[in-house]
Amino acid sequence: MRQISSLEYLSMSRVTRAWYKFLSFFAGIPRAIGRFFRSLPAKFAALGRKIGDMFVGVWDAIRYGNWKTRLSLLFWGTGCFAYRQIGRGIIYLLYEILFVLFMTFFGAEYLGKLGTLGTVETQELPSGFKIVGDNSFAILLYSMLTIVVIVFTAVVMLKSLKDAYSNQLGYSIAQRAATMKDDVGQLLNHKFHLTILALPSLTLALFTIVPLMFMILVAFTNFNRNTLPPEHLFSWVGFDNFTAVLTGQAKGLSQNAAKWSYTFWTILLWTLEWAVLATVSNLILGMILALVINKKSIKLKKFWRTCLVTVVAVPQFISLLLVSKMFLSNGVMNTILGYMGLEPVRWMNGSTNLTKAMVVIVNLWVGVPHTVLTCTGILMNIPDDLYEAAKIDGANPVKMFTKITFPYMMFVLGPSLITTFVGNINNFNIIFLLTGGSSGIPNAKLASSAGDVDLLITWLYKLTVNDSQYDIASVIGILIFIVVAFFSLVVYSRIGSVKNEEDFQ
Amino acid sequence: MKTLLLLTLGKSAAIAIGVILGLIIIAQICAVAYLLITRSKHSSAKVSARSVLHVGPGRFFNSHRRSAKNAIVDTFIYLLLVVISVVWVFPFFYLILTSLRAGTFTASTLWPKQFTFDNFVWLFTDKEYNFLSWYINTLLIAIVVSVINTLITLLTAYALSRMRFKGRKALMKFMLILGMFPGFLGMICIYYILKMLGMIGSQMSIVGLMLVYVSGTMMGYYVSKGFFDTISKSLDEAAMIDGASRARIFFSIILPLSKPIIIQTILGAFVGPWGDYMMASYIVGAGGTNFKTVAIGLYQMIDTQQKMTENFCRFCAGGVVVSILPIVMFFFMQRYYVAGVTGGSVKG
Repeated sequence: MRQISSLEYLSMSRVTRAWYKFLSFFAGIPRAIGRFFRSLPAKFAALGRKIGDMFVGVWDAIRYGNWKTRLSLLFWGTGCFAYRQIGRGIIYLLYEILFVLFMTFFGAEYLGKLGTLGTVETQELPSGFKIVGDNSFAILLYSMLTIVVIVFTAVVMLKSLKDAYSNQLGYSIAQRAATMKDDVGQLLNHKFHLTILALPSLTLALFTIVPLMFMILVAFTNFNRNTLPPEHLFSWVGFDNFTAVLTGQAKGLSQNAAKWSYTFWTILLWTLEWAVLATVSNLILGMILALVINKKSIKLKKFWRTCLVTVVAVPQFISLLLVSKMFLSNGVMNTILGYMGLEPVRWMNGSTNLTKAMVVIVNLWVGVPHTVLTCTGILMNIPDDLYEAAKIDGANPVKMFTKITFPYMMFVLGPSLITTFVGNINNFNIIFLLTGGSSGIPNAKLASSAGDVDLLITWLYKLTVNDSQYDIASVIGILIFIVVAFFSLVVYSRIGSVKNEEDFQ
Repeated sequence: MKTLLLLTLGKSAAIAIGVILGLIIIAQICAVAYLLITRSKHSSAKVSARSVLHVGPGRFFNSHRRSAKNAIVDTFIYLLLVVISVVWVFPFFYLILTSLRAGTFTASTLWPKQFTFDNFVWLFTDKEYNFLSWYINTLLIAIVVSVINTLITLLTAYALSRMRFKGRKALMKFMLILGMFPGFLGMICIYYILKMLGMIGSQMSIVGLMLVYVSGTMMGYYVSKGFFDTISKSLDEAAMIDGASRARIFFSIILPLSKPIIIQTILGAFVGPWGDYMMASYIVGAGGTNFKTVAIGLYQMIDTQQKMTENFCRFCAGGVVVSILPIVMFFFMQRYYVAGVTGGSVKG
C-alpha cells in the first residue's frame, strides 16, 4: 500500500479516510508478521544471553571458588554445611539423594527406551503364559516426567553452587551466612512469591505441562486405535501425520490421507469464518444494546439487563440442548412459526448453510449478554471530565461518541476481543451441544466422524472420544495452537491499545 | 482443492452476508434513533451552565430538554427492548412450561394440555437414571474445585501483580503461550493416566474429574491480576514502612480489599463444572450411571430420537432443578460480578 503524506491524509474526505485506515490495518499485517519473524533471531539471542548469564555465575563459582564451593558441585549443600547453614544443606543433600534414587530406579530406564518407545510386544503364549512387554504410553509419559524433573534439578543444582559461592564471598566480609530462620522469614517477605507460586506451579507442571509435552510428541507417533497400549506398541513416524493432514500425501499411513487433508482444510475454513462472524456480530449487537439500555431516559434499566443476563446464569449445556431441540424440524420454533401462519424452516437436516446460520444466531443469544455486561461497566467508568471538556469545546454528541465513547470502549475491549476470538475458535459447547457438529446431511468426503458444521475443536473431540485417533488428534491440536498463536500475534502487533497503554490512564 | 475452497467460501459468504445484513439493519435502526436524539441538541448552540453541569457518561444521551422526537425515539427503543427481552427469556419460559407438561413430549402445541409435577417426582425416584447421584457428584466437584481454584488463582495473581522477581515476565509469557493450546489436548494424556490408575469407570472418576478442572487454573490469573493492579501500591509501601511482611500485606490488606474479585473467582469456579460437557464426557461419559455429572447424565437422557420423545419433559425438569443453584448464586452475587468483570480492565 502506498504511503501518503499527512497533507494528503488531511485533504481526504471522511469516508476515504476511514477506508484508508481500514485498508492500512490489513496492509500492515504482512509487515508486522515480517517484523516479528525478523526479530526472532534477536529474541533467541536475548534468550541465549539470559541463559548464558545464568552460567556466568556458575563459571565464576568454579573458577574462583575454594574447595568447599567446588565440592558442592558434587555433593550439594557442602558449601552450606561449611558455613553452618545446616538446614539448607540438609535440604540440598536430601534432594540430591532423592534425585539419584529417582534416576536409577525410574527415570533412566524410561529415558533409555524413549528412542524406540519399546521393542517387546506384550503377547500371550499358547500355554497361557503372558509376556509383559513394553508399554509405549508409560515410556513416553515417564520420559516427559523425567525430563521435567531433570530441568528442575539442574536449576536446584546451580542454585546450590551459587549459594555456596555467595557464602564463601559473604564469609570474608560479614562472617555470617543467612540462617534457616532468615530463610523462612524471607519466604514470607521478599521471597513470598516462591511460597505462593509453589502450589500453582506444581499443578501446572504435573497436569498441564507434562500432558502437553506428551501430546505434542504423540503427533510424531502412530498412537491410535490400532496400536493401543498395553497390548500393542506404537512408534515414531516423524512428520507423516503432519504431511497427511496438511497435504494429503502419506508415506507410512494406511488410512486415506487425502480425506484427512480435505477434512482439515474444510473445517479450518469454517472455523475461521465462524470465529469472525461470531465475534463481530456479538460485539456490534452487544454494544448497541448496552448503549440503548444505558440511555438516560430509558427506565427499568435493571429489568432489561436482568432479562438478558439470565442466559449467563443458566448452565450452558441446559440452554444449548434446550435450544437445539427447539430448532428441530418438529420443534417448538416451527410450531410458533405455524401459529404466525408461516412455513416451517428446516434448521437441521435442511442445508449446511441454514444450520450454520442457526448456530450464529443462537450464539448471539448466548454471547450478547456478556458483551452488554462488559460494555455497561465500561460506559459507567468513562471519566466525566472527558465529556465536560468536550462539551465546553462545543463538541456535539456524535463527535463525543466517535471521539470519546467508541475509542474508550475499543481501548478496553480491544485486548479482550482477541480472547473472544480465540474463545470462539475453541467454542466447543455451542457447536457440539447445538448440532453435534453436523447439520444432519452426511458428507462422504469428510473423514471418519467429522461433520459439516464441525469446528477444529469439536473434530479434535470426536477424533479422541469416538475414533481414538490420537495421532491425528494431536496434530489437529498443534495446528489449532498455530492458528491461535498467529491471530494473537497479528492482533497484538497491530492493535493500538496494546501499544498506547497510557492513552486513557 | 482450490475450487473446493472457493465453493465453500461462496456458500459461507452467503450466510455471512445474510447475518451482516441483518446486523446492519439493526444498527441502522439504532443509528436513526440516535441521530433523532442528537438533532434536538444541535440546535442549541449556546452552552448554558446547566448543560455543562449535566453532561457525563450516564447522561451521554442528554435529555433534560425532551422533545416530541425524543419521545418517539424512546418508544422505539422500548419496543426494541421488549422484543429483545421476550426473545431472550422465551427459551427459559419454555423450559419451565415443558417441565410441567404431562405425558410424553410433542411440540405440536406450545401450551401443555395438562400440568403436572410428575417429571420432578420421576427425577428423584427413578433408579435407572439416578439423577440425585449426578447432582451430588456435581455439587461435590463444584465445591472442591471452587476452593482449590480460587486459592490458586488468587495466589498466582497476587504474586504476578505485586511482586517483582526474576523470571516474572518469562513466566507470564510462558503461560500465555501454554494457554493457546486447546485444553482438551492434554486431556487425552490425563485420561490414560487415570485409566492406568484404575480411576475411569469407578467412583474415583469423580476425583479424576476434579483433577482435570484444577489442572490449568494457574493460567486463568488475568482478571484477578488486573484487579490487584488497580489497588494502589502506596498501601503496600505504607504497610512495609510500618514493618509488615509481604505475607501480612497480602492477608490483612489486599485480601479484604478484593472481595469482588474473590467472589467472582469462587463463582466462576463453582459454576464451571455445572456447565462443562467436553471434559466430563471424556472422563465419566462411558462410566456407570452413578458416577456421572448432571451435564453428562442429562445429555445422555435425550441423545437418541426415541429417548428424546420419552424423556424430553423430564430433561426440562432436570434442567430447572440444575439451574436453580447457579441462578440463585449468580443473582445474589451479580453486584460483585459486574464490578469484577470491569474492575479488572478499567482504570477510570
